[in-house]
Amino acid sequence: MESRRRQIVNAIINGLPVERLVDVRKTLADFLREDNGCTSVHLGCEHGVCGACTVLMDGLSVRSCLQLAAQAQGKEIITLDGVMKTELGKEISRAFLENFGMQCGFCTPGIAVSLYQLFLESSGEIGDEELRETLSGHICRCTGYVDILKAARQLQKSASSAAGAKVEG
Amino acid sequence: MATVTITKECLKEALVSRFHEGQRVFALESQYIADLNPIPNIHHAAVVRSPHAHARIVRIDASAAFAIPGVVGVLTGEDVRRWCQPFVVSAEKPGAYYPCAIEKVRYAGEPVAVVVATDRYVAEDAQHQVVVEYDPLPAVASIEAAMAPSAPLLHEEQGTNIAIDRLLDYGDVDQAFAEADLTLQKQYYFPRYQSFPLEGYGVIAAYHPSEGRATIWANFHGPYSMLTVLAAALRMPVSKLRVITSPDVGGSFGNKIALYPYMALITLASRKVGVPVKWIEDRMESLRASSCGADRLTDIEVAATRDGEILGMKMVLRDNVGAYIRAPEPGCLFRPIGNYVSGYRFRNLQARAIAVMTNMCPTGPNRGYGCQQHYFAMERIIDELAFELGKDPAEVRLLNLIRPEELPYRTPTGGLYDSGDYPATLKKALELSDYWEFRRLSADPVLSSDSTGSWTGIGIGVAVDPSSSNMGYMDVSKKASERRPGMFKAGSVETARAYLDATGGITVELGTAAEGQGHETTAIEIMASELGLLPSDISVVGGMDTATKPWTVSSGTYASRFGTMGTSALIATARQLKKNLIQAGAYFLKLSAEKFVFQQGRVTSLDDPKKSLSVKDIARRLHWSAGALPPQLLTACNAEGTFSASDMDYPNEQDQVNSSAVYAFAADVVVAEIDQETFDIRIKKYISVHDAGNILHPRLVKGQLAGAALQGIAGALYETLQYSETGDFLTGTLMDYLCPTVNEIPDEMISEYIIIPTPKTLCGAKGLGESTAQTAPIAVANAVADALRNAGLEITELPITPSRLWEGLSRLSHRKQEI
Repeated sequence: MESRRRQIVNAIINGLPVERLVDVRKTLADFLREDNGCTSVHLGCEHGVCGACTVLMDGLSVRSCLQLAAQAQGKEIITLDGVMKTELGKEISRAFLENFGMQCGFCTPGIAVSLYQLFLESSGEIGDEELRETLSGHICRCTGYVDILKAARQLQKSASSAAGAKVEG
Repeated sequence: MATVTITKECLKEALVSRFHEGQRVFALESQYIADLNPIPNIHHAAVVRSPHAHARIVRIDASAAFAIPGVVGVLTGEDVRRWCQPFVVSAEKPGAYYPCAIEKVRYAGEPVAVVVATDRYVAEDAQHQVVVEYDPLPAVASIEAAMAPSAPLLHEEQGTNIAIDRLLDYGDVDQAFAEADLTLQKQYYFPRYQSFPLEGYGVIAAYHPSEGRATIWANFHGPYSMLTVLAAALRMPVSKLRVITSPDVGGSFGNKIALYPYMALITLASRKVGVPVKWIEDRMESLRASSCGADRLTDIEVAATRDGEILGMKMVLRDNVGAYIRAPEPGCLFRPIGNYVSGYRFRNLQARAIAVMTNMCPTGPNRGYGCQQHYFAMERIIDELAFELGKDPAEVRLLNLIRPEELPYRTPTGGLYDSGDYPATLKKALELSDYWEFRRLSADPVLSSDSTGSWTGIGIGVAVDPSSSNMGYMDVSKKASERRPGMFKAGSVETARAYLDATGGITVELGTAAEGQGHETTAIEIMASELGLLPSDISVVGGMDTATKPWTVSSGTYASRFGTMGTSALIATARQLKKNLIQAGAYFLKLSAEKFVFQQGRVTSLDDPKKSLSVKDIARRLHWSAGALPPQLLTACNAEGTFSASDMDYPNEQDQVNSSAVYAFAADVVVAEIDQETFDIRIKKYISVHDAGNILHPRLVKGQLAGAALQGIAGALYETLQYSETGDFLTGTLMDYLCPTVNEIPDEMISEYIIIPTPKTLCGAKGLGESTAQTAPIAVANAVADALRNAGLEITELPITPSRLWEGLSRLSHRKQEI
């Protein structure tokens, strides 16, 4: 059947090269979760609104539920798994834990990836407006965002020193 | 009762840094249901759903689906009819509710068939190849339409769309209304919304035909009374049904209580196709066909003196329970029965409680279950009453609130309010919000002029927040003469277990399954502080496995149960373990146990402090010298603690019942600002004060309050599940169903406490995590109503949206022009 057409995908996932045969219609999210063990990629809406499945593709955040695995060909993908290998990732986790910036944890990996991108790219201070804009791409149903905002503001102060690190295997 | 400080046992500031569930997320160790593959050969399901709100199923042809490689089977209503019987529910005239439609579909999105295939993509391909021929029927998609005399019937055999109609009468309402200086009558509508968890439903079911047994992994967290409903429907003994909760659950807010029909459906699919079946719900399925809070149309009438004393109320409560009345419904109508009068002193109340079936998704618990619907009408009319009397709404509330010296207080409906100071709680909220200053400024014609470009208003919402439900309340849905004979006591029980290992470590098992509340973090802190051990000595096993953990039908995570019942069971367990260790320590030191105490992780002689053994010492001896132990010490390493809530009787002949074990109190004040051009509504200030007894974990508690408040605000301003008049579902994606982001949170948010421990739990804590979901929508509505009072627009329904305000105000200005 047409739908079962497959393709070899070569990509760097969290610093490690992978080569896999995938259905051309498989989403990047399912590819990461099912074929690469990245179960930190969570699916909250599967139509690009909630942000739980956010990953970085060549440094830019994408909704992995709206991308196909085939689009990852030749690209570098970073999920929370990769973020946690960096100093900035540890900084983010510290800020969230100290501020209780999560409850059920389902939205957290996507938020952490977005903040990682934000602080990694920033050369100077991140303003409140920018912080809110980044967070507004994510739906959290538990916290009322108050403690997430607190965690992110703590990062405003501490993250610039940790930025600049690259994810390696 | 005086305000007291938090007890040492229940609070340690140091605990802030230890957030176990959170650490799991960043350590990449979380295990949600979609991540699990707990059994070999798992296949994947896609559910075929009805596109019609109401239709007869003429024919189902699944042959084309089988042509797709990878499809292993299809379950339809015919299989369900063969293996399943309707789910039981406490209602006079329920419809027959199965996990899948049989003969007729009754709401858009209702399961019609299940396709099982080797992977989800193939299952979804095949789903579209199942041909279902329908014969559409006229649908009813509102309370009024369903109650109309010639309305199409959902369940013809019942002869009516009304599942329940109970008149509950307390005190002497007629007398109260005869004596009143003023009576006021209003109609209010509370909408359907779903405080949906970000993780949807998930089920993995394996039917084992050789033993007639099934194992179900699901993100289901109780109440486990639903398992008796599930087992009966599947015609299986409860003991043949093993239910395992995934280690992590991505939120619920009551929504996942209604997961059990899908647990039945996927178990039947596994039975049909002979392989384990996994089904992970997507968001669109969740919005249209999981569960939501019932929408309610309330007629309410209040009788009062000219001083503002409320003498009585009459209410007609009409809940839209959707196409089937599904347990734990009609809980929305009856769960708050003991607290029907909220925190007020009036003794005369008449409530007619009606459950109406419509061609819409069945309803269920939504954080605050039943209370927001109930209090919305009550708190709105109190504001209108104050206005009629020329009094301030705060004054009228303070006059009518139950006074602290009246507690413990038996409400006219049977509730037993155990502790609290309701006026002090409200006063603190008024103070923190500068309420009286706001009133002074808004009374000033210069300061409050329209020239600011916005209307600003202040609103109050108070609630008695019930926690730990009394299972008995449900039977109020039936007349006293029709209730089950032989049932005299209801109740609520929770059990926890602890094991002491040979090295002095303690493993604790909880009977509740958390969905983000931080039960494990809290349990570790409580056990460590009760036993005087380090938190690192304690391990907690969360989740549920009905085959290996102790549970009763009242177990589970619902009705703010962990903070009250769960922690009490933990403390009972720690006390039992301490008792065991004292016995063992005394035995090893060859002295009498009466002379020993347990403190700071040691068993020590009262007479000679040098005669002392650590928990580690005792653990080692108990394990390694087991052969030398006397019989009474053989089980000393195992402790089980059970806590049973007191005063939990069955409803009496007068329909009075103490519907919950514990009652907390919350008072909110909201300042809302409405842009006069765009009608955009902003929450400038959100102040919330709680009398929730001892605060178990201050950081987790703050998070619960903020989260519940935003869910309440969302219900007041944004979220609503909409249907067309013909029952088409209109808000099936997150582009249509608007949930708040970080940009919609209040500009200023304060939560504070009045701490009056309850004598009803071992930790002195009352429920808390659901309170602001009840008060926030009310306080927002009252603040908007206050802002628009001079403009002449009354707020009688939620959500309050810019377009509704524009429509309402335009209508008023047209009317003025006509005059």
